[in-house]
Amino acid sequence: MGLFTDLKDSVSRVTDRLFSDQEPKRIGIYGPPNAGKCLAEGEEVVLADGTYRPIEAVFEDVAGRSGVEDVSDEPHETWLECPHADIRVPALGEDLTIASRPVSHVFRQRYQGEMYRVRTRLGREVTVSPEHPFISMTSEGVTELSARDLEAGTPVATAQSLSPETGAWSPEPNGALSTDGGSVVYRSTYHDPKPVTPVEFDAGVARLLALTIAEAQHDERYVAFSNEDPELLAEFERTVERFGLETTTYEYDGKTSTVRVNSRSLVEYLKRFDCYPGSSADKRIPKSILTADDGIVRSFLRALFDCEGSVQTDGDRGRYVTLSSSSRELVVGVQLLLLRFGIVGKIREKTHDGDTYYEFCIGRSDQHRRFREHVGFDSSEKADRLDRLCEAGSNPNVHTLPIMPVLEDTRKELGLTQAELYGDNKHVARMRRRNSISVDRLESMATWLPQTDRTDLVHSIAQSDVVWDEVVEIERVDYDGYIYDLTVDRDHTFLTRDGLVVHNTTLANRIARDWTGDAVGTESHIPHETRRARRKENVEIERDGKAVTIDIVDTPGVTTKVDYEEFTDEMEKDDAIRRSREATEGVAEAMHWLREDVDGVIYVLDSAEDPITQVNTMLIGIIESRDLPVLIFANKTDLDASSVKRIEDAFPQHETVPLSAKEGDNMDEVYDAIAEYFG
Amino acid sequence: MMPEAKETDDGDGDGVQIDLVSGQRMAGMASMEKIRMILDGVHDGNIVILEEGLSPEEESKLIEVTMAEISPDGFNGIEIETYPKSESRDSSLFSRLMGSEEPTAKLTVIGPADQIETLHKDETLISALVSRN
Repeated sequence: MGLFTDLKDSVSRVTDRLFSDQEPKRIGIYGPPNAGKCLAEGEEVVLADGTYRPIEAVFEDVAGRSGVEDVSDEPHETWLECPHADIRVPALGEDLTIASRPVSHVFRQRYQGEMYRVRTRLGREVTVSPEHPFISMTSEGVTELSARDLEAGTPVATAQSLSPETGAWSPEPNGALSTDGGSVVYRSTYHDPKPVTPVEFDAGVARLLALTIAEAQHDERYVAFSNEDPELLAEFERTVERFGLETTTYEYDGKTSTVRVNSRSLVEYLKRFDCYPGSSADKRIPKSILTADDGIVRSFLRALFDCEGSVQTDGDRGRYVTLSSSSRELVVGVQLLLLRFGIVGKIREKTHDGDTYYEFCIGRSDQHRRFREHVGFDSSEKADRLDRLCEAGSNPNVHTLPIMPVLEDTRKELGLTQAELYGDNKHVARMRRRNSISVDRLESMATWLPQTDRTDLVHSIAQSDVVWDEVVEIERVDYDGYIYDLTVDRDHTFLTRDGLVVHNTTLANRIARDWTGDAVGTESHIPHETRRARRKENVEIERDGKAVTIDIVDTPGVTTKVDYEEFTDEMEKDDAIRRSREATEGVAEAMHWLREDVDGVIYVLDSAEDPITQVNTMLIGIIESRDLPVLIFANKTDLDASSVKRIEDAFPQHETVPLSAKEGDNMDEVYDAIAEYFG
Repeated sequence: MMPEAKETDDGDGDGVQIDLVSGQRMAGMASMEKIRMILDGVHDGNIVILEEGLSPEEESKLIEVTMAEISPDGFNGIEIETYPKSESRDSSLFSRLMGSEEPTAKLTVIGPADQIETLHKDETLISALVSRN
């Protein structure tokens, strides 16, 4: 993983250094890319406005715009640059706080193989490619760990608080409605529906949506709300009256009362707020609520918990505020809304009489108090029980982090005693032995430790917007389809709908991927996967205080033949022809640049393959005839068949640097060599 | 100097034409002429064998021009084989006189990518399979 971190460090400075006082050298990298870090189709990502969307919809949105350029150079990949910075997502920064950042690229790849379905203790789930990194905490501090390196117990960052950029959403137009004077009415050719009076979207309407979603029968013609609580029934009736409509109340002996309103116009009007009829398993939080201000969200949640929430004070079964639904999407949406108030809960899947339902649980006393402060209940019975929960002492944060080695180093460096750093000596020996410290303890340590470079980790954990959830299950699943990713400016992370923080595909990753290239040439097993070459300017690589600024010309794999039919397994004929045309242009361009326009070459070879191929021999000859400095990267040293010596013997006149881009092995020497050769 | 040999197939295409191009003939041609001659031959389905090969510069241009001429369901590109370069040749009197544009003076085989397949190659032997189109 060091590879990606290091590359990110060195390459992300591109954005800070768009101008340089010296003319940078232009270095060509020769060798085709591979590998991917992606989410499965259907995974949803949180957007900055508080809503969420399937990742493929975000991709399609960008793909559907005009003038969008595909900057990928592989036939089975599409990597689109977002023309405007209008898609924004919450991203986790290095200081562990979440801020909104623009998406710069969207990525799609055809993939057949194993994917990893990861589940966490808080009930979060996501399916990702084996290389896809999560944000974790190891004995070295905050680290990216790819899915294949996760195991049960590995900490993974999950959002703890979120402040969406609210207010951007406006009611959606609904063609089924027509305006009739000051009112709106359902367009009908058969009868004369009653119009509704338009009502401003406020806390009262938000509560009406909550009551409808929680406990109403809701179809295309009517909304019928049933509840034991006469207060809630009366509220439903009053709110419906604001729309100029009348309700009918049905009361039966020994049965729950129902207030019903028959109005196509109202049903259509509610759709404008993204509240649609549907079965209970299809329920979800409307976009009007996800994007509303905190006041409206509070009203909505309070009404929802009044109907569907319960408070368990029974010590044996646990002490929880819970909410149940047969819709996982609804439960996850509730969690998303509660993040605004810093409330994190656990999502549990349960079965009852053969039906699956989902329970959202808020388990800790400090979270109960936060819930009481920000949401609470109208129902006096539930409110009383919540008061009792809140009286209980805080149960400790069971989240622990394996960062004792870092803390111990800090302690020794600062010359502190155990008690001075950790507050007391209790359990410290055990914490060291198990390499485990609770987040609670770290939070209290932050209250007395001065803020310095050395104590930064403690403070950023204490003030962070994430909670350290942990992996409980990793399931390998066969996958055949498209996989997707986003590139997010600056922080290079985004959130899944469940709140998991995942790392994105970055320029740094791309360069790493390019270095993982197979041996260039016609004998490659992969259908020659070249497309247009790319340039990245002013990439700064810093080694031992020496900064080297280079322009990277990332070229496609060079070959002497391209047959579009080799791509037709992956795509339609038209696409295959277009791709192969781009490939030929890319190779032609790469040849041209090699003769005219590069100051040095990094030549990437697969050390598991025979280096003596026609293309390699020819290209090295061409590079030599131009007297260009050349570094040979003998990649894939992690493979059993790897032989660096074979490459050294084939090209003894050039320096060969062995590396495994995949494992991140020997990257220090890679950077040293780049700095030395091209500096 | 080896004489130019030309085996013509002027029948119905059940043979493969091989053009053996001498170093002498190549020496009198400009780079683009050489590339044109090679590619025209390959387009016709011929195998072109160069007695003395191309310079690195010319090889790079050959790849560039080949790429420009590839078309779907038409020309797929070329297969090219030479012996691996050996260091000792670099400083021959001939190459020093000719500067950096010296021919590599290596036998080179070029053919249509869909008709020629390299079976084996080492420093002293190139073995290729040529099929009829």
